Amino acid sequence: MSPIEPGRPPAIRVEDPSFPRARWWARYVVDGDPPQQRLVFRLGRILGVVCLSCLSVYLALATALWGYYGYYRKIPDVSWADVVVLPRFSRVQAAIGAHYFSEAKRLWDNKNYAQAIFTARAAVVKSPRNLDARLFLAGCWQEVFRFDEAVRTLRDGIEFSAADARLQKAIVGTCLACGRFGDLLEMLRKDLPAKGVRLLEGREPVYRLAELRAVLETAGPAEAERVAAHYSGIDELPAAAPLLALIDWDSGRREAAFTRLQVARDREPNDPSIQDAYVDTALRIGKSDEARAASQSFLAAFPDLESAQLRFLEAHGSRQGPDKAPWMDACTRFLVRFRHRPEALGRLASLASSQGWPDLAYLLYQNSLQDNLTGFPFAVYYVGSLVKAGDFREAESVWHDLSLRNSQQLVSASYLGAMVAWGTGHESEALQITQQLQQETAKDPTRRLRLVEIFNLFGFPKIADELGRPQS
Amino acid sequence: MALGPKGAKAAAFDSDQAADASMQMQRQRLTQMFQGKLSDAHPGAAERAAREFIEHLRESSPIAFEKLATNQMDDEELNSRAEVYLRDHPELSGQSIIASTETPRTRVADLLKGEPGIGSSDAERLANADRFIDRLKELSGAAHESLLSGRMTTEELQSRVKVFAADVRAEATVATVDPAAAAAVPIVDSFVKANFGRSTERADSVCYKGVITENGTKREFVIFKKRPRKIRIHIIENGLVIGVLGFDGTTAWRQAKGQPAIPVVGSDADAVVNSARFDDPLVDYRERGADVRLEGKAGSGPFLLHIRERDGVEMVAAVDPVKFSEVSLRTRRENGRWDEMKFSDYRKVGTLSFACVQEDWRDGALRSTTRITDVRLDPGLLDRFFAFPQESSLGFMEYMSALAIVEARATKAGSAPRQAP
Repeated sequence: MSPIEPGRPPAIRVEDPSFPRARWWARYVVDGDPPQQRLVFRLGRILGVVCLSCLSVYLALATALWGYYGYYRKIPDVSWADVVVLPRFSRVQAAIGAHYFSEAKRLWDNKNYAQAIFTARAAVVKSPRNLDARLFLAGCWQEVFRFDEAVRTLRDGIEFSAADARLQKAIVGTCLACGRFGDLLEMLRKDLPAKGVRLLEGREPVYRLAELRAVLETAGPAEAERVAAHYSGIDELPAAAPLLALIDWDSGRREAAFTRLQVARDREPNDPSIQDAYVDTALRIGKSDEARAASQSFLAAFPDLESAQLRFLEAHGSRQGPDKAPWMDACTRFLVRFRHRPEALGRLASLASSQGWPDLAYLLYQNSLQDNLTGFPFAVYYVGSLVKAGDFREAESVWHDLSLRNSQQLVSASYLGAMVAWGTGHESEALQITQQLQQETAKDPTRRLRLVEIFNLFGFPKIADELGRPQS
Repeated sequence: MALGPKGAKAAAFDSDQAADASMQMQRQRLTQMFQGKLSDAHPGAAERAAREFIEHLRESSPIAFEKLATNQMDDEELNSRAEVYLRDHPELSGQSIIASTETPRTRVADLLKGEPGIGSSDAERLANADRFIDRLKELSGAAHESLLSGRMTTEELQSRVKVFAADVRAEATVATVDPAAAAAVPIVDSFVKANFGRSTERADSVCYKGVITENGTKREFVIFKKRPRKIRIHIIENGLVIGVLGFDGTTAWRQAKGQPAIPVVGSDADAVVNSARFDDPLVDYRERGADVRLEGKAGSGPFLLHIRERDGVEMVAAVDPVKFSEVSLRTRRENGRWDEMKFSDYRKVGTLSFACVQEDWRDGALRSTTRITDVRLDPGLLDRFFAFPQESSLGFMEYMSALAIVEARATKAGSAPRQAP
C-alpha cells in the first residue's frame, strides 16, 4: 500500500524507520527535489507548552504571593482569586490596607504612637480610598500636635472621598480645632468644588459658619461681615449667634454682641454653645453678677458638660466671700470627674493660668507627674498662673528651674518668658523675646493675634503693642 | 631655717630663674627635634613649633609638662608627643592618610597590648581604649574623627597610644601608689560611659514607677529624684497616693492622705536621705572623695570594685566585664553584715541604663523585689516639688483624700465611680 494518497503533496514521508526518532516538539520530513531530509518544528505544540509553562509559573508565583500575604504576613481577607486575577488586585491592596489600619489602631491603643502613625500611613498609602484609615491617621497627627500633617492627610482624601460627609466634617472640625483657617477656606472654596462638592451652597449651615469663622480669623471682622451678608437668613440661626457675636465684639460693638447672645439664649436655651458664649461675653463685658447667674443655670442645665463646669469656675473666679464655697465644690467635682482625662485637666489648668490660680495649677502639675510621669504642659500653666497672680519672683524661679533642662518644652511658650522677664524688671530681655516672636509670626497673623490677646489678658499691654506693631 | 620676706622673694626668684633655664634647654632640645621633622618647612618653623608645643603641653597635660620641665621626659616619649602634635597641626607637616577598616576600639586595644602596665586582660585594655578615645576627643576633635573614620595611620595611632600610656602611668604614679586603685580607674570610666553617658548628657532629674514585692505583698510607688539630693516618693494603693515621703536636700518630711505634712527625723530620716543619692556610687567618686579599688575578678566573672566613701561606708560593686553593667551592689551595715542589691533587666532610657529589676538580699535571703515599669528623664521636676508642702486647700494629699472618699462612696453604692464619657 502506497502511503501517498492522490491530491496530497508528494514526497513527504513521515516516520520513516531510517530517520531519527521524532520528538514531541519536532519531526523529520523528506521533501523537495531531490528529496531531502529536514527537521520540522511542531510550533503549535511548542507554543502550547510555553503558554502552559508561563501560566504555571504565574500561578505558582501568585500562589506564593498569596501564601506570603495570607500565612507569612497573616493578612486576613486576601483571597487567592484576588491575587491571581489582576483586575481584582486592588482588593488585595485594600485588604493589606485594612490590616495595616487595624494594626495601627492596636499600636495606638498600646501607646506605641510613632509606630502607629507609621503603620496608619502605610494603610493610607496601600488603600487611599479607605476613609476610616485616613480619618484615623489625621486624628493621630492631631493628637501629637502635628497639625500640618493632619490637614494634609485630610486634604489628600478629597481626591478619593470628596463626597463623603465624614471627610467633609473631619476637614472642618480639624481645621477649626488646629487653627488652620487658610487651609479650610481653600478646601471649602477650591478643592471640594473642583470635585463637584459645593458645601457652601448646600443646606447645612455648619459649613457656611465654618467659612465665616475662617474669614473672621484670617481677614478680620469687616470681611467676615461682608461674607455673612451674602448668606441670607444666617442672622436668624441661633447656632450662628456665638460667631456673629464674636464678629460684633471684634468690630467694637460689645453691647450688640451681648444682646445678640441674650436673644439667642432665650430662643434656644438647650444649645450649650450659646450658653457658653453668653457667659463668656458677660464676663468679658464686666457683668459679673449676670455671668454668675448664667453660669449657674448653664451648669444646672448641663451638669456633666466640661465647658459648663469651666464657665462656672470662671464666673466664680474671685474665690472670695460667697464665691468661695461654690468654687471649691465645683472645682473638686471637676477634678474627680475628669481625673483620667488629661485634655480636660489641661483646659482646667489653662483656666487656672489665665485666672491666676497658682494653687490649682500646682495641684494639676503634681497630678500630672503622678499619673503620667511628666510635668508638662502643666508646669507651663503653673508659671502662667504665677505671672497672672503677680508672683513674678516665684515665676522667675520656676521658669529658670525649667529652662535648665527642659528648654525644648518651653520653646512654644516663650511668650511666658517675655512676661516673666518684664515682670522681674528685665524689660530689654522681654523685648528681645518679643522681637523673636514677631519674626516667628511674620507669616502667621492668626498666631500673632492670639499672642497679642494673651499678653493683654495677662496684663502686659506694652508687650502686646510691641508685638502687634508692624515691622519696619 | 626660716627665711624672711626678702629671702623668700630671692629664693623664689632663684627658683624661677632655674626653671626658666631648664625650659630654655628643653625648648632648644625640642627645636632640634622639630628641625629634623620639619626639614621642608620655612626657617623658624621648628622654633615656633617647639614654643607652641610647650604651651600645648602646659595646657593639656600638666603632669607631662612638669616631666619635661624637670628634664625627666625621655627622648622616646618626647618624640612620640612631638609627632602627635605635628599630626594635629597639618599646616606644619603633611602626612599621607591610609584608611583602616578595623574598629577604632580594637585597634587601640591591640596597640595597648605592647604597653606595659596598661591592663592585664582584654577587658581592661578595652576599657583603656574607651578612655583613650574619650581623651582624644577632648584633646583634638579632628584626630578623634580621623580615628573613628579609620583614616588615622598606624604610626600616628601608635604615637598617640604611647603618649596615652605614658600619661596613664604618670597619673598612676602621681595620683596613687596603689595598683588596685589605678586598675579601677579605666573600669569605672567605662562603666560610667556605658551606663550614664557623658557628664554633660546626663539627666538632672528622673522619675520612675514600679511595684515592690515584699513578703508576698505588692505595693506600687512612684519615685522622683533630682540632683543633687532631692527625692519624693509616692506610695500608691488602689490607684491613689496614700503617702508621700520627701527630702529637698535639707528637710525630710512625710505626709499621709488628708493630713498635714510633718518633718521626719532620726533613722526614718536617714533612710529617706540615703535613698536620695542620685547617681550610682561609682559615678564621680573622685570628686566625692571616695576611694575605689579593683578587688579582683574571678575568671570570666564580674569586676569587683570596692568603694569606700569619705564617711567610712563600704560598698562592693560587681561590674559585668563585657557589658559594663552593674550586676550587684553590696553595702556593709553597721553590724558588719552585708546587704546586697542585685540588678538585672537593664533598659536604655536616654543615656541612662536602668535596671528594671532590683532584688534586695539580706543575710542570703531575698527580702524584696522591685520591678520598674516606666522611667522618664528630666520630666520637668521643680525644686518646690521636693520641698516641705505648704498648707493649701488644694493640696495634693487633700485631693487624694477627696478622691478616696469618692471611691469609697462609689464602692459602698456598689458601683464604680462615674467616668467621663
